[in-house]
Amino acid sequence: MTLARVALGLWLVGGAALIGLNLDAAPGPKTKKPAKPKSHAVSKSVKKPIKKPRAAAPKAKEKPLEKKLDKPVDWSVHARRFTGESERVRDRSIEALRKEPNLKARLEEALGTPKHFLALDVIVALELKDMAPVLLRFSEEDETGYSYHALNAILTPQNQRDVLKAYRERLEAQRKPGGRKLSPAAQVALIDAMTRAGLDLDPGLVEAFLTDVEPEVRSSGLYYVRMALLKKRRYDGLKLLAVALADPAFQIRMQALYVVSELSDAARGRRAIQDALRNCAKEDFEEARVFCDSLKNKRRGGGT
Amino acid sequence: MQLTPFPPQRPPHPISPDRFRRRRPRARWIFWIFALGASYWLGYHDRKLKPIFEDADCERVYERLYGSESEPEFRVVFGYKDARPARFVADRYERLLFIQRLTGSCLGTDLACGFSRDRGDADLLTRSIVGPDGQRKTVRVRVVQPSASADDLENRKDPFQRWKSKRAEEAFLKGFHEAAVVLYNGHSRAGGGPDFEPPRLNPAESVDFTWYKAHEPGFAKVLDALKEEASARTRMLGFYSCASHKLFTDRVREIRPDLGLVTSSRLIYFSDALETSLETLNSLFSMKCEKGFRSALRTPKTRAGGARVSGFFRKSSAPGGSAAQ
Repeated sequence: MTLARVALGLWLVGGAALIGLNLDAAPGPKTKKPAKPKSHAVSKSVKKPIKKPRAAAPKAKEKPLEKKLDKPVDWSVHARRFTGESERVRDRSIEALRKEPNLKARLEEALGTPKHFLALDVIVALELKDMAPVLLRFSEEDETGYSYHALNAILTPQNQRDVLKAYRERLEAQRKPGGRKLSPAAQVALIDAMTRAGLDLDPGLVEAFLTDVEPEVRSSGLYYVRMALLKKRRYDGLKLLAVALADPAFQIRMQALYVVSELSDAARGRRAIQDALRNCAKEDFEEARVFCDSLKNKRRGGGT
Repeated sequence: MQLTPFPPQRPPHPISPDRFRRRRPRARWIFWIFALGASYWLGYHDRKLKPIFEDADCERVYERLYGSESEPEFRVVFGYKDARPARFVADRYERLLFIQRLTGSCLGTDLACGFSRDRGDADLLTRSIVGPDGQRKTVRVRVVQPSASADDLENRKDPFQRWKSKRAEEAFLKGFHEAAVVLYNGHSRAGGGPDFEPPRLNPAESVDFTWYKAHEPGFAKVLDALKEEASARTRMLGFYSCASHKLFTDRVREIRPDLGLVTSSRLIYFSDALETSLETLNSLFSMKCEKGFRSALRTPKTRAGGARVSGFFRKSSAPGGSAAQ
């Protein structure tokens, strides 16, 4: 068998040499490749210019901050100054960007390119609210989900309703056969936006989030359930919470247990939760088992 | 006079040069598909494919990194990425972008891709690569983040946030005992980081950098953890955070001069930090030697991160000796 494998291997290699290689090319005389112009990196080791000691040179005057910031630079350079810099630098960059001609067109061009995130940061920092339709359109194909975050930051009372409606439609459409599938990052961004807005979603849709293949989508769905239970007192969310308590990932089960810990005694005593907590003994993540037991006992103690 | 009939036109030869030339590319494709299939069938994919290193030192570096474990772990821990004065906290989204890239399909020779997720552990991703000894290894990448939600104000009231912060900090500090590589992607907090909790605020409701600088709550824990003998398992520590080179390098070097460090000399933008940390993992999986590693951190995609690697390719005095021993 080994011999057969070796023979077949040789045959393959030989075949590749005969057929796979370009036989059409005439074996002409070998031509020497034209010498590459020596790059700086190569020549550096050969011809290293001798540096003159700078000790005698007078120390150059440092440019004042104002001059540095006023220097005409690409919009993306200003956008980078939003991170880690002082408020003063940030404000100067925003000021400079406001004076930039055709900025909106350039930002729109940058969406989906390596400058994508910087463009979104500029839209948010400059509060370019009239770019909302551009972002809503672009967000449909944005797999990073960041255009949704930017869009959420520039919503106005006038367009908020329509935008949230579009979000809901996108989330619902992807669950339908043939619907456009959103990336996990986009789904999480949309579910989080729904949670913050406190919108009522169809329980079937929320259950679909809680049983999604991506744990991040399930976690976001669970955060929505938390909001529905704690802020809107929607107790139909208890059944959904029970779904999360049986999640395959221990991180989601822990998150669900923390939501249970925040519930009122009355809500925790409901059958859906009590049935789910009865499975504590089967929990294989120790921390979750201990926590689950403590919640069960807390209920028992509170009830007597 | 009898006219000779006009000779009928000869049909083209089935293997006329024209047709032959047209058919050749297709034949070539068929051959290659067949060859690939046959080699897969023969089990060539599972044969020992020992990587070729530029030099013995580089080979030793990777032998030490991967050790004798069949499942070496690489840990990426995100810090609490608040965006004060805004309420937005970004680390959940950044981690998800990172995971989307790791689980995405592979292009070219990239190896920081094609990972599978663990069903029972949402932070764990695995894939098979060929180790420095030519044996297949399953690399485990654990990606952890601390924020409970994207809203900083909500997180401060949420009891789940405390668990998330504690778990992320543990994942980072225990990483020195359990993982070959530990990477931090978060805020430097003026030298007080790594930080996995909602930030401490001053009376003006902004991050209290003075306090962080004076107390170094995160960095002191890192230094303590590095002093423990078991921390020698880790061969590389990465700080993808603002000005981390200036803030952290020297004092880590004092404790662990043999530790490879990836730091940034600049104020690092989040997408640059993501690209650089992905490229670091890719270089480690591809076992790039010093020159290749450094140039991978200077491509147009990664250059803006200003990342620099130091101490990782340091020539060791004890050839083959593992620091974990």
